[in-house]
Amino acid sequence: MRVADLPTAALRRQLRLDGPGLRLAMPPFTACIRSDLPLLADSIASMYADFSLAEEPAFCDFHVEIRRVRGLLRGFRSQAEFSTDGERGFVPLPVAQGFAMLEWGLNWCVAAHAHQYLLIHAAVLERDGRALLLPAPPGSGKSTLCAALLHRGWRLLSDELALLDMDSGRIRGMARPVNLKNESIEIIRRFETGAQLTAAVPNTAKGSVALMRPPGAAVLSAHEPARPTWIVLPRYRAGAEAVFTAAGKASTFMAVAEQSFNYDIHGARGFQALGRLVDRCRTLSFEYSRLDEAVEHFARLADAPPLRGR
Amino acid sequence: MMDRPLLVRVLQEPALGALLGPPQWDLLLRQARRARLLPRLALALDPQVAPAQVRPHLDSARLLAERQREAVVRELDHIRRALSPCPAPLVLLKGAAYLMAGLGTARGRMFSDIDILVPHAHLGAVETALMVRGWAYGDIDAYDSRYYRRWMHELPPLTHTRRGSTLDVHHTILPPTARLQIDTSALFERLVPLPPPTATPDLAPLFTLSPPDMVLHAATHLFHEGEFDTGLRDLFDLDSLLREFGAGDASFWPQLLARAERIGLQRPLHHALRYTHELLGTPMPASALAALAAMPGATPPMQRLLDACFRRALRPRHPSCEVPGTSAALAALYLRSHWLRMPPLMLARHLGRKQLKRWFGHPAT
Amino acid sequence: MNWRGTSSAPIETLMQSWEGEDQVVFFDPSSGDTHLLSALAGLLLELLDHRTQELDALVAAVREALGPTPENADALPAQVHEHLQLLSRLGLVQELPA
Repeated sequence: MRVADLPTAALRRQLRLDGPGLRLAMPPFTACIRSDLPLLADSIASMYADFSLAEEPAFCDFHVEIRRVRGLLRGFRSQAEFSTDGERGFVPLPVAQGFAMLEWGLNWCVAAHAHQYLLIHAAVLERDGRALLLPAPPGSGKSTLCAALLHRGWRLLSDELALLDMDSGRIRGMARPVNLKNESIEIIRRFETGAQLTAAVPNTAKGSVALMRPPGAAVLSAHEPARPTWIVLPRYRAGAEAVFTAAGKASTFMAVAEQSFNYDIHGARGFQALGRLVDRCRTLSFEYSRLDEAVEHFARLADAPPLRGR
Repeated sequence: MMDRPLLVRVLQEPALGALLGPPQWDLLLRQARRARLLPRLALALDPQVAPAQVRPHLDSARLLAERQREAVVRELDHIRRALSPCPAPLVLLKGAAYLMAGLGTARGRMFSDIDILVPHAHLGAVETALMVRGWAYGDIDAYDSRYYRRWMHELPPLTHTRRGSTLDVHHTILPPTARLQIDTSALFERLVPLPPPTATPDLAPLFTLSPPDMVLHAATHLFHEGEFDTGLRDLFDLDSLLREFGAGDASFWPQLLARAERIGLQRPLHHALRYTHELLGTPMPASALAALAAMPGATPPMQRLLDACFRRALRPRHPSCEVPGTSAALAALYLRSHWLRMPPLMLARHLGRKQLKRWFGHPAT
Repeated sequence: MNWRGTSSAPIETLMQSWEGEDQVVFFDPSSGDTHLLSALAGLLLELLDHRTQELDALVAAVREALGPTPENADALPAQVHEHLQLLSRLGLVQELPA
């Protein structure tokens, strides 16, 4: 059963704080979500429409709650807070940011607990079974690039959280809603007029944030990993011509390690796994300013014959 | 009588894991996370017993704990290096002590801070030596700083500026203002030297408290505590220590009782034995139980109140384990811990200030 | 002075390099740190893997490994010494009395 098949009233009932929780399958994980915010029910219904619900009885990897915080000292500005397993520990935010908080919170849960993977802060997309990894610090433009590519022949695995299976060498992603900030929101609206976005929420720590619904096909295939083939370090620069430059494997190794949430936990195993990842990929850096030009370049990259040797 | 939470039942009888279905595994893991007992659970369970979906959680917890243990060992080398010029004995407390003494309870533990104990006379020199090597006090206002130095049993927490690790330097195990007056020098009478690590034999040697004193410290720490996020975990530590020490040495139990009397820690020991026995089934020789019954204790109404509070506070901090009266119990124990630590006038001033900080937006700790 | 690598694990498991690149990555199990090092540093670590060498011998070995004399041949001993100091600060090599 998908979220879209659930009548609104039933969805809200499941989400109730005292209810069973909405048990969302986001392969390879299952999340149990509870909330007393009506807007959250609406956002989940639209952004997660194609996602499946877990079968009962279910073991859920993460239990999260977004609950309204009331209190005279906070005045009448309504705020919401995120908790996991009933434990708070994060600063409350305005209610309007409830869905963004859920997304951020789910990413936190994975990053904090899912050490069966090497977790990398990167966008991942797939084409013909091959994975394109875009590791980058915030502000590099990777989410915008990712949001464009997924509309032009690439399957979204993730816009932010790449899961590297250290044994098989394959990469996974959850194909969850894509996080867009500030100018990117308008850019993507224009780039793909059919894209479904939440309303932009102002004044988060990152500026304005909107979330984009992932393509249904990507959600249905989210359980399929891909073979890492390209690691590209993107950099947006106003007015720049789109161009790929070869990047050294050693420096790419360090760049990916720096973007990893749990590289240091894995010690020697992580070192070996990252080495293998970098070995088997073409490592490049990419500079661009125009999105359509960028997309063309990536299409040509995908069509180019594979390089021989290390 | 309250029912035992699922987490406690499985930790006491890991074979029960084979009988659990997915919803119970779900509940078990949530309770374990809140109780900070996931690594302990992961070690107690037979890996084959957990369903495929559950196993990565247990493996991750084990992996994290292992990495933290390695980090503690490395950090101790740095501390030993920094304190090599100081003549003070470097005594490990709590988790770091359990780890370096090779005690079973270290394996299921998460580690954050390192706690050490040094004699008060050497405190200044130790503080200076650490600061020279890069430890510094965090953001601490003048009131808190004065509070720590005058009244507490430890320096304000030190953070290493480059490594980010935290170090708590204790000079006794209870604040000097505490109502329970203890003989701190007695702790230093029976220190146990640890064999020097083979990699770094020349640095400052490490000590732990003697086994009975280690138990007494754990008991004092838990039963003077004001916050119980790790209450159950600390109780399991006590249970482990009592089992391990008791099994190894016939003289342990008589020594434990004698040292409690010598140092002045009979009340915390009484609580420790009472609640490990009742809540975790910790085995105790008949002589210990008899001594426990004979200890000068609380009046029956007071004991009933303490029981009501501790039986609630020592459950996993998960909503599924909440029984009526839990928040009242936690509030009462919070006040009690401050009452135990300081004279009434100080208490009112201090609590008022702490509460103000909480209301007016200091970062959540 | 003599120099020696500090790691007890075989160097193949600790270092990764790629043909034609002037940087290598090195994993130090005792600290858990991963370092990005120059190719010269990597070469020195290989030469000192479970082996003690004195400075002159090291310089000669590096000269041989680098092949026909590059322009800055005179600067090599100083470069090698500088690299050894860096590696020592990182805890990857240690100085031993002759």
